[in-house]
Amino acid sequence: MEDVIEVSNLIHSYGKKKVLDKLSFSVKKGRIFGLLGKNGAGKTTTINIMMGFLQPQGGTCRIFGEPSYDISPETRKRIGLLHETHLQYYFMNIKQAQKFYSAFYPKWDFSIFKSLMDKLGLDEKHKISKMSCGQRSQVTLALILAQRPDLMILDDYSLGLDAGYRRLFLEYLVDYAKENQTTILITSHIVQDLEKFVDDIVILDKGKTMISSTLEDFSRSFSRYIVKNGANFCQVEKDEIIRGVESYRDDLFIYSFKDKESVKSRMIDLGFVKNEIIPDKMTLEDAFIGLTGKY
Amino acid sequence: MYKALFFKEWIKLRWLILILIGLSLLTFLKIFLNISAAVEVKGAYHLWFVVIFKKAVIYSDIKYIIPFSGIVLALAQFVPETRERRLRLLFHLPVNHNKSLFFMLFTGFSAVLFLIGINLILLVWMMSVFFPKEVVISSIITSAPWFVSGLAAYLGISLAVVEPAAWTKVIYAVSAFSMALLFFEPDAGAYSESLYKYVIFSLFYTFTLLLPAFRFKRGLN
Repeated sequence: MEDVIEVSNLIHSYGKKKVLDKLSFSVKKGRIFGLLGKNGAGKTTTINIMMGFLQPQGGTCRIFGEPSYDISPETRKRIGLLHETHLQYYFMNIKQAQKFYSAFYPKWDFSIFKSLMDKLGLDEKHKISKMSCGQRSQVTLALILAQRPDLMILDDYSLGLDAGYRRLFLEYLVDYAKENQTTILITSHIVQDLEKFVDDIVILDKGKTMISSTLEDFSRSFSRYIVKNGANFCQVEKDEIIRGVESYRDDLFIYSFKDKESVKSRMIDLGFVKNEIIPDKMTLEDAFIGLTGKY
Repeated sequence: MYKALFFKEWIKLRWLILILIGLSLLTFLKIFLNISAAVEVKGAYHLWFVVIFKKAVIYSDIKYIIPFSGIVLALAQFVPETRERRLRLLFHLPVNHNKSLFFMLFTGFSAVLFLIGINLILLVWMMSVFFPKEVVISSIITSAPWFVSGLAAYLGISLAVVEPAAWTKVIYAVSAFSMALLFFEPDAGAYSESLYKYVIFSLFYTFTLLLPAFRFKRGLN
């Protein structure tokens, strides 16, 4: 399967702060790819590099085989990009924005834009500058979907959206992606939304790839265990077996890629606990927090 | 695609252009009324004496219209495009970046030229009412540097707004202001021999816009 996005050993710093440290991943055609990470992990920096708005200090990035710093206009026609904070031309109204963008994308589908704008319920002459954050997000997302791109890059798509519209948009997106074999790279702070539809994930931590896997493999291999009344042992250090530790009220939560017996054995080796360790169900968000920490 | 780019610029500039035309009309109306009053009170002979022999510039009120127009047009065009790093919107469009930027500049530059044309027509008409052809031509030569300063102001402020680095912005804005000041020698016909050099130098600003845009695209501040 063709690699639509290839990121290889990206390095970038802002002053003395290293944001990306040999980041590598690839996104295959037709897959939905979740790029996860805490605030400041490097997600938007990675997207800016992908779209040619930032020159990395090291490494390479290719989009549809072209170097990201020199994407041709023909290739840009195939890419729908949602900028961080849902940037838009504030001086336009809905009708003007539709008229403007439709001129650039030969596959423009006005019916997609109209059906999403009908749900917004605003007059077409309503200025974007006079909209709420969520309304602006809805307009911007509709403009991107109407382009019918081959690749969508959505940086924090959920900004300002209420739960209802988020679900509507995701359902729309999944159906759209399946029908058109669209490749999607998506970031969001609402991790539980992504769980329902991403195929692959990369979790960034301090600019490095912490996890790069299909969601299915990750869910199957990563587990959480409760240590009842084990909160006193929250100072246990992370290692190859214990990948995350969390305490909540009286209980301790251990996150690991290993099975229950390996985790139990490790806890005993460390001399911390002889309590029962119970496997616990968790969501993608639980796993993400378990790996990256609350703060 | 260029039609769409022009549409974008039109949305930003249309009402402002109308306002600036209105400003020009009001200014010329004021000058016209002043001249009419002078003729009425002191007689046409006195007016001709003052204009032809004393070389008084009786229409100097229009001096700042075009530079002011250039500045506000540049701000109206480029501030909405650069706030919160919005140039990314322009550079993600499937159009060659240099072409799209030059097209924007060409549109604004044309708007300034259009306003210059309006002011020139009003000046020629107004002066023709009171003075012979020779005085009308002299007024065109005297006011030409003020109009050219508007082009310099537009290009210089555009450069300052597009520049991503704050201190460099200030340097560009100060240099644009300094350049525009060169054009405000008050004597009639002061730039009749040298004006073309200033025009060429002003047009130099056109290409310098590519540098901050290039640096923005590469995230180099």
